[in-house]
Amino acid sequence: MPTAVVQPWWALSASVCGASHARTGLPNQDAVKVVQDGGGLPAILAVSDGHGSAKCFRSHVGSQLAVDAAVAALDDFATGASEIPPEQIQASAALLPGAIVRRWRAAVAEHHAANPIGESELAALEPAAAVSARQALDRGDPFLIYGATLVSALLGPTWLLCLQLGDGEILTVSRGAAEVMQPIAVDESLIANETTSLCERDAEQNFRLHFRMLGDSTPALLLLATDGYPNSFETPAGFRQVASDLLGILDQDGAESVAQALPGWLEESSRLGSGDDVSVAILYLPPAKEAP
Amino acid sequence: MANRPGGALATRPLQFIWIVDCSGSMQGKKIEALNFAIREAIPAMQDVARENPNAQVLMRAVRFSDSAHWHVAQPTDVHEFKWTDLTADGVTDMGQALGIVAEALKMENMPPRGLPPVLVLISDGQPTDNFTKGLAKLMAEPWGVKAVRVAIAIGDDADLNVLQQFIGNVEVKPLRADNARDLAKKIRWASTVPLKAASNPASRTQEQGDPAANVTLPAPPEPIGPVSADEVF
Repeated sequence: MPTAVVQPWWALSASVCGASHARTGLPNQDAVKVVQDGGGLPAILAVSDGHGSAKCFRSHVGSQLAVDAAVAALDDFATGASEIPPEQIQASAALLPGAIVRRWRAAVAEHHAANPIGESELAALEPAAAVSARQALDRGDPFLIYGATLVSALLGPTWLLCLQLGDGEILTVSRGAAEVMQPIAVDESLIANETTSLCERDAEQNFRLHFRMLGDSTPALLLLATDGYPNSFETPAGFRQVASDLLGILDQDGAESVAQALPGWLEESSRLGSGDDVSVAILYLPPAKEAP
Repeated sequence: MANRPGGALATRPLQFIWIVDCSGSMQGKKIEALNFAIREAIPAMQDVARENPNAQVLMRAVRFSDSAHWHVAQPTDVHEFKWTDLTADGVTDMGQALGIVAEALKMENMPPRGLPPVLVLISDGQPTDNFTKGLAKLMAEPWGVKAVRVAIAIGDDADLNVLQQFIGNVEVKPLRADNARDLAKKIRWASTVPLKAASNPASRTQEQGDPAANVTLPAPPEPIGPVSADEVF
């Protein structure tokens, strides 16, 4: 009887400047980071969307600091989790939002100290945004200026942990399963352009968590996206279809081919859809192969 | 290489609703000027829409006098929108008009991926029905709260207090128009500047100041210079 050989996991990511940002000369305010060594687990993925408003004029930095903070905190967590029983992992995960927020705030404070906001930077803002920024700085609060969301996931050997603050989406799909899953439901209170954020005082409380033991339901594909991606599809089902389509394409064409095509797909989605920056992080497990 | 993954792509819908006073006091020069100004504003709105191709601008209009009705009920792409002249007669049932708009903005009628709606209220008088109840209905809807709300007061008898309540943001005042040229200027601003701001809004948290200021608007236009007495409404 042939033996099935488990293949290594692949991590892919891409982040493209939104079509509307490109028209107006704004930079890509998203950030993405994946950490996955040697095709094994644990693997960590994070995407972040800088708010991009005039008041949040360093949010492109804030989003990069957000994915750095999340990956560092989840990396520490993964190390610790390997030493505790699986049933205690979920309880420990409840401490992660606080850890991520503290890391992000420390990183923002450090960046702000090293790169003080000058008069010329404030003068370039709309008057109302400049007033708001000055008020925030006067009360020792540079965080609004760096405001960003966070969508992150840690896939351990036997469990999946997802954390989300603000808009964006997470999808998983198992090989052979018809249904694409959303571990964290869309927050229906976040309509139009509203979001929760790392820059808010109650950021830690606004995180949403998902933890589950995988059992036989290990996903073959895990996808994290900033909201510019789902907002580009006519329907929520059209966005969920991305996960099942991608799994099929990855199985057929391979991860290297998809990694090449991914930025073009995201650019097309932004151009014909939301116009927003679009970022994705993907973890993919190829089908097992028969041993020779 | 395989085709792009996922379903059909689409730009984000943006609802733009005119809410227009057609009471008897609007008869004559005012309603003529209003019809002319809205018709003239449409090409400028189409230009804004072309500059922001990731927003699909869908226009409608509500008229109010003795009760309130849809003047244009079907959300219509701005590039296909034609303005049919309004006539004026009756009282000022503004509250009912806001109730109709509230119904249109219910969550089940609005896709979550939509952009903030833009509501433009134009009036020359005081409400004759329960304005407070109508406004409460509108503000009970999450999309009503998120809407960019601007108002134009025509002439000296317009109730600036109720228009300010409708706007719901002390930093944005009702625009005032005392003559046809001024009305055209204000309608052009109200129809294009909020539209542009709502077409490409940045993300926003509740802590970023007044929740009513969902989308930041630049300063409104100055009134036009002196006009002759017979031009004044």
